[in-house]
Amino acid sequence: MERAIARLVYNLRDDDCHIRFAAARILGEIGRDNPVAEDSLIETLKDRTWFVRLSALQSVKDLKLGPAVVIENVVPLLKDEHEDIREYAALTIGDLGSMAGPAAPSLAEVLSDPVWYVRGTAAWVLGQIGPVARKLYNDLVPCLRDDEMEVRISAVRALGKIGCTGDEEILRILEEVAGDKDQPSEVKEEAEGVLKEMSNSGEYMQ
Amino acid sequence: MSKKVLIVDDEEDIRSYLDSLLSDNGYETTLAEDGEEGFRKLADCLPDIIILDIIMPNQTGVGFYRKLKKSEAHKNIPVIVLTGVSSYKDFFSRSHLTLPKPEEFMEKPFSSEELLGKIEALVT
Repeated sequence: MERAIARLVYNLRDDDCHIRFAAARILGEIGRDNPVAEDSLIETLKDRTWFVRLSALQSVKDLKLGPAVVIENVVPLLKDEHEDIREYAALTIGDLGSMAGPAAPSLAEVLSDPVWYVRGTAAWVLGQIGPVARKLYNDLVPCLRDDEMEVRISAVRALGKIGCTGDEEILRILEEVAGDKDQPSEVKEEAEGVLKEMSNSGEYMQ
Repeated sequence: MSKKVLIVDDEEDIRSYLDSLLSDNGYETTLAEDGEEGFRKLADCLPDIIILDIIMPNQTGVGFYRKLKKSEAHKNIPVIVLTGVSSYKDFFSRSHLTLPKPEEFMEKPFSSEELLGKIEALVT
């Protein structure tokens, strides 16, 4: 196995981007707990070819590296030139749950991404971080007026996740959405559902 | 009448293979080499089903799929996602967006019999 990993690490520097792509992907499957594989994949997150970076990112996600390592190396990809990488970086950070708190401000910046599904995913991930991200609730408010309904729904869900039962400010925001005649019915219904969950829960929503 | 299949894949070999496979089995095919071209051809070919690659230049399969499902005219067209990497499912299988998931995922290399079976099941 060590020999195979060494060969794959070597292939990460191949001139052919398809070789690099495949090597990065396979290292994600067999490189767990191998520091050379992990370090090489992290370095490959800066590859010049977008789908090689995506391949390395998926492998980094699969290797389940520690939160500090993920945050340090994946947060920069939230500003990648390719939207699929920005979205996948957000999803990778979201896997950390509440441990992704230090990445929350960077995720909040992605809420204004030009691509709607990147914005929607960033909002959803903030919700996955939970109450640790509560101080950023104001960054979610503009998403409630996003051109895309999906983003609004993600923002409503995220507010429900980062708020708590007695969180008057977030409750007020969600009540406004639920009663806003200009909101699509899907968004209003989502807000009503979240408000109901918040009122039923005596703890932070998980 | 023949059922229509839109094949969106940047790899010429795959497009050509799928074109032959599906034509030989009575389907009418339209080919596109990336998501942008695929979307341009949608209105003209009005497919009964779409076979979609993920990693493509210009607009990827992820972008194409999201755009498709936001389109009132085309959102009900079933999609089979062909991918070389299973973790691309993450783009679709989470609950982070409320869009419906693709009808089927198939990993490359795929069995032609299995693909034909899935297409048959989705278009009839």
